[in-house]
Amino acid sequence: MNDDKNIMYVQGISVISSDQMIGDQLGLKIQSLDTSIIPLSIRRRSSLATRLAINAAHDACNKAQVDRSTIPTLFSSIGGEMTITDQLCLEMTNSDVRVSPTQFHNSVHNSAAAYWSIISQCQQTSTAMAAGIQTAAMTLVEAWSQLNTQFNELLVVCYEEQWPDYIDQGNGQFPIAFAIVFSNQSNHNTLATLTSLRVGQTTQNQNQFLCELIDSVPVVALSPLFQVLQLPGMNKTVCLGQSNAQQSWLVDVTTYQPQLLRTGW
Amino acid sequence: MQPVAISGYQCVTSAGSDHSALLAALIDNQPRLAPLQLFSIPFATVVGEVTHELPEVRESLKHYGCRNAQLALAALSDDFRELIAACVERYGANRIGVVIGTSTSGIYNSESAYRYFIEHRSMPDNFRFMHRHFVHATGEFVAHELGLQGPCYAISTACSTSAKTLAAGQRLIQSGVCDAVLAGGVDTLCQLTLFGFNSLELVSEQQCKPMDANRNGINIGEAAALVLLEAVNDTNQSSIRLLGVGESCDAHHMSAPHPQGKGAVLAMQAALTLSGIKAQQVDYVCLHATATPLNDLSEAQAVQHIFGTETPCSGLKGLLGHTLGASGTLEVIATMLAMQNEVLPGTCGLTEQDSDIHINMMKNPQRHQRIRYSMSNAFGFGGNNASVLLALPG
Repeated sequence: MNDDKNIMYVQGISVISSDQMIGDQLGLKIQSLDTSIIPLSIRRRSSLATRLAINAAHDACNKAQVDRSTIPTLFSSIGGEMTITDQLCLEMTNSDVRVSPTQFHNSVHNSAAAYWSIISQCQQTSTAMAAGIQTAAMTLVEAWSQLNTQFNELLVVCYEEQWPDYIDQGNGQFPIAFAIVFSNQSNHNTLATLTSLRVGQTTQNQNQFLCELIDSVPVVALSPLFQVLQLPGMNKTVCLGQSNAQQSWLVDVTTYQPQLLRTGW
Repeated sequence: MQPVAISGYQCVTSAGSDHSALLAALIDNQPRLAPLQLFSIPFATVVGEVTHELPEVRESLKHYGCRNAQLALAALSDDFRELIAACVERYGANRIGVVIGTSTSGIYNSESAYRYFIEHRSMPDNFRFMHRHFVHATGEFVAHELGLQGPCYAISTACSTSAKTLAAGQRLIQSGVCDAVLAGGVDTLCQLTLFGFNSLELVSEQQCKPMDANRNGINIGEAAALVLLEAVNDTNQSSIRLLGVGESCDAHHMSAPHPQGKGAVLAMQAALTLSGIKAQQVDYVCLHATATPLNDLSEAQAVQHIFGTETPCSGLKGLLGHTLGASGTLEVIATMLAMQNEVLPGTCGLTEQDSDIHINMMKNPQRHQRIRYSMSNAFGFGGNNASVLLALPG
């Protein structure tokens, strides 16, 4: 059972992009996309969004050493399969509409979540969600309520692919996927704790650059959280949206020291 | 899970502009399906289209204006708004969440924007994907329209979407994040879904026939279906209880169900376990029953595995069409109407039950039937499943 229902234990994290410049911009260590972990039959048909999400999920699960076939999942993205939907909407403008059945079933928002369940042979609860500019914060709210009421562990993946430039100009400018494995119990793999998920006013000022990036790719609001999670021995309150907003969702993050991990704290 | 009260609900369907029109359809069991009027398609089918005039989105929220937002707005009837306003009074606007799902959101309007794009090489000036096309747009619009300030997000898992918003709502209340949640689903007819399902050869030319020996595919519909969830308290003693929502995945295929309904079995079992109810206690199962050959056989096997061959079952898609992301909550509302009015719904379109399907299918509605516990199934693309368990209060 839960050690404490108000604590989310972070067991493993991953940030993946197909564009290596993004890590420098966000101040994050990111890994490049490795599609070799996706079975060829799925890789051939899946979008960049799905490939990024699956890669991040795979990497975070490996780091957390969790069983991929039993962990419930929460996938979160604003555009979801935007490039596929875009292609289908363009096709609808033709006088002789021809839709590929594979493209159609791959266009659903839960496409990445579904392919992950198939690859992992996982029949657990799987949810796909979105919340516009608040996507990062609302994903953590949904994750928190799942861990608080129903599940002992949860794989969370927030991802976005690059959208065609005529879709909401300035938005969806680069591809990225963040993944976290949460547990409501600590063990020797625990990297950090998240506590006191709440609405409040942040005292820290985000730089204008990050605010603009969040406007363009709202899941990037997870960057400050991941910056802290990538450093040991930190104790910080992190804002999960734009800090210039009047009220933002905040969470307290404590990352463990490596020596504490070794003593099994 | 702790039960929550469903203290209010409303829906707009091809049967009419409110839940009493849906109840009338459940009782007369006559199809509310007709040839498509909203746009033209080069193949024959019938749809569950909302043909009455929809309200306009107010000027200050015009950027959200699209058919999906209008359909949601139509479901915000005066009496439903009063119930929500009473919750705002009771708990405060920041304690009321909005979890409204959709599968295609404002794509009906995006399709016009794309036609403009092809002609002018740019999207129309006033068209923002963020406010219309993406799946969070409808819920965000509803939150602004009602002044609700709690957590607001969309769930989008194809045809299980709005059943899963009920799961999220129940969890938000139990975990103390919210005191009440407006949950549900809204989906509108668009070319993408009609052509898409047609490309999969899943669209029936005639009225669909759930669980019938001659079933040959689905009819698409549109609907807005919203429910107000609240912690059980003195003000909602007579409301139907949401006991639990079982969720699972098939982990099998993107658009074909597991042949023996393995994921569906897990979802129904999970709903029973979360609710602390035994299968024998369930008086009625509202099936997903899309009327495709594979889906119905798979679901029937799963239902038989859990409930045997006696529990009364019916499917509503021959009445209203398959309303996709809205169907999960819409069919929960239909089930609630059945429970409150002691009507076992029939299965419009079913004439000759498939000999390979052994569950107890209701062809015609039956009056004066007490339904204490009921289950409502919603299964979607990607093998995403949700089963909702409801109970009469007390």
